[in-house]
Amino acid sequence: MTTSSLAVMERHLIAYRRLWKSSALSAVLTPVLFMVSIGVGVGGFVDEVDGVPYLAWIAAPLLLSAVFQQTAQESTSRVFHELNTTRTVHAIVATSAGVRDVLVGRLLYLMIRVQFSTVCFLAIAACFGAVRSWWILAEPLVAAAVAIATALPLTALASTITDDTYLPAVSRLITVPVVLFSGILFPPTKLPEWAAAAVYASPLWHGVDLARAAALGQRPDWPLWAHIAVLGVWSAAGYALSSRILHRRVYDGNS
Amino acid sequence: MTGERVISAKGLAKRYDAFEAVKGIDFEVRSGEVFGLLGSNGAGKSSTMRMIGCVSRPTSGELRVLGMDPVKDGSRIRGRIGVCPQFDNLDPDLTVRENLYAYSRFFGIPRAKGRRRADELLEFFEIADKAHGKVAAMSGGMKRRLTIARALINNPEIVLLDEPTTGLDPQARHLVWERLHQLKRQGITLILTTHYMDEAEQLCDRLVIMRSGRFVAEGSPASLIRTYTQPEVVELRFASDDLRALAEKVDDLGRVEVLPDRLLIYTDRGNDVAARVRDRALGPSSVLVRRSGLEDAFLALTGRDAR
Ligand SMILES: Nc1ncnc2c1ncn2[C@@H]1O[C@H](COP(=O)(O)OP(=O)(O)OP(=O)(O)O)[C@@H](O)[C@H]1O
Ligand SMILES: [Mg+2]
Repeated sequence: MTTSSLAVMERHLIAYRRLWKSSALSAVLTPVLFMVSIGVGVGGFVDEVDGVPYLAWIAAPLLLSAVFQQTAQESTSRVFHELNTTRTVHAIVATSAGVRDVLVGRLLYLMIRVQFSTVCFLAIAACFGAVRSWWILAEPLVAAAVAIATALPLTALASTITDDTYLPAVSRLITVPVVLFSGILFPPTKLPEWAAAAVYASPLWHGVDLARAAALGQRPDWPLWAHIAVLGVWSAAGYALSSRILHRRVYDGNS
Repeated sequence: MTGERVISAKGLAKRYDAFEAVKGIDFEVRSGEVFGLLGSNGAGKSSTMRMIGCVSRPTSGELRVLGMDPVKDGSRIRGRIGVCPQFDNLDPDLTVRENLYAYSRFFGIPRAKGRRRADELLEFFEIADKAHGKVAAMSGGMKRRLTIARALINNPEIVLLDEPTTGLDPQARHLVWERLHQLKRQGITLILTTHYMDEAEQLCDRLVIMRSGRFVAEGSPASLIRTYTQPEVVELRFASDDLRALAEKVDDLGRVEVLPDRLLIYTDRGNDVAARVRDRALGPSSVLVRRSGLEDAFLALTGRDAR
């Protein structure tokens, strides 16, 4: 991390200052509404999963879903517009800052937003009895890991798009299905085997499993090292790819 | 007036897929110089500027900027130069002043200094009254001034200005020219592209004319005018559209340039030629004799009839 990465983060924070109230409110309120409506409503039919009330079983995973969607938004349409419409990425990389700073600076900014909504949501979820273990303190780390493993691959994808008619497709074919099938409202074991395999590839599911385990004080379905490995692979591959693609786009391959 | 070599290029070329936009150019720029790149649309000026600005990798040839290699030391070079790109890429999510401040941070300039520098530049380009407004609320010419101001935020040693005054009103252009003169007096090297010949004549110590990716002429504005044109021009306008046919009827009087709306005859003796045109009863709607300028040299070098 260099001072230039911090400068890029600062740029995002300056811009965010004007919209943070409405944005932060919806980032916290959306998962809370889901938690209450589905947790109480559907929970009335389901009663318990693995000996845990349904609301508590979905609460921490719902937060991860909100983190995922927030990050996906920032990494797809925002990246697209900064590259193609406003071309502010081109302005940044004409300075001492480079592609790495563009990537890392945005991640740092996302971390701040994600941590803020995580803490607020968990405080509310605790009032609903959805926080049942001190392991919850690990939740911010899980949220950060999911944000990074989501942001970088999606940035790579968004950087290849030059025509905005493809943006809705990214949301419909990637973001929405990932949210629906990542073990948030029901376990992937309820799916056919081939579909479950796809779920296990998604970074969100790994976060969901860890977040649920932390909130409930249970053992995760997969061992910790396996979760870290999958999230790590998405992050590393996402960084390598997005960095390469951006270099080619903004520098014609220059350093 | 001019010091050590700050930019040098040998056989510099840029290819986009199959298309070669810059076809091997050689040049040097010395510190404190104002160096101009002229040429028709698509001649390769911006491509050249982007290579110097270390945001586009040369396909072949050798390029050195401030003694460094743009491919390896891009970030370090970019930290010491300022760039006003042809098309504004200001940040619409930030205010005018924040645009300058945020940019200062990308160069690692401390916060307090960045704010001070932003305010100075807003004054320098007379847009301080817009400081707290949105970029989107500025007129095109004001955005342009903000982009030029932004290029100076890091006190650069070299400033690359790609058509800096396009879209400016006459007062604003004069303001920018005066400011660029001030920079030149401070010893800052300026590289400029423009389609305004008066601008090039006013500002540039030396310029090159590009045509299809190559340099076709190089020298001071005065020497280019001397070398590539006659001292005077007779401009003829006609009611008729068939200027090519009319050109043939006067081509014994001097070199004739056919423009879409008029004929130009280059000569040593403008008044003589004008009189002889009148004798031929071709019925021009107007005849004007004037001294030739950089635009005439430019037309001779880049026009349809140039080799
Ligand atoms: N990124 C690119 N990909 C493909 N072709 C390009 C690219 N950039 C420029 N070109 C082509 O290279 C040629 C030179 O373009 P360049 O922008 O350097 O011209 P210019 O002299 O700056 O023209 P203008 O006066 O219109 O700004 C043009 O034919 C242009 O279409
Ligand atoms: Mg250009």
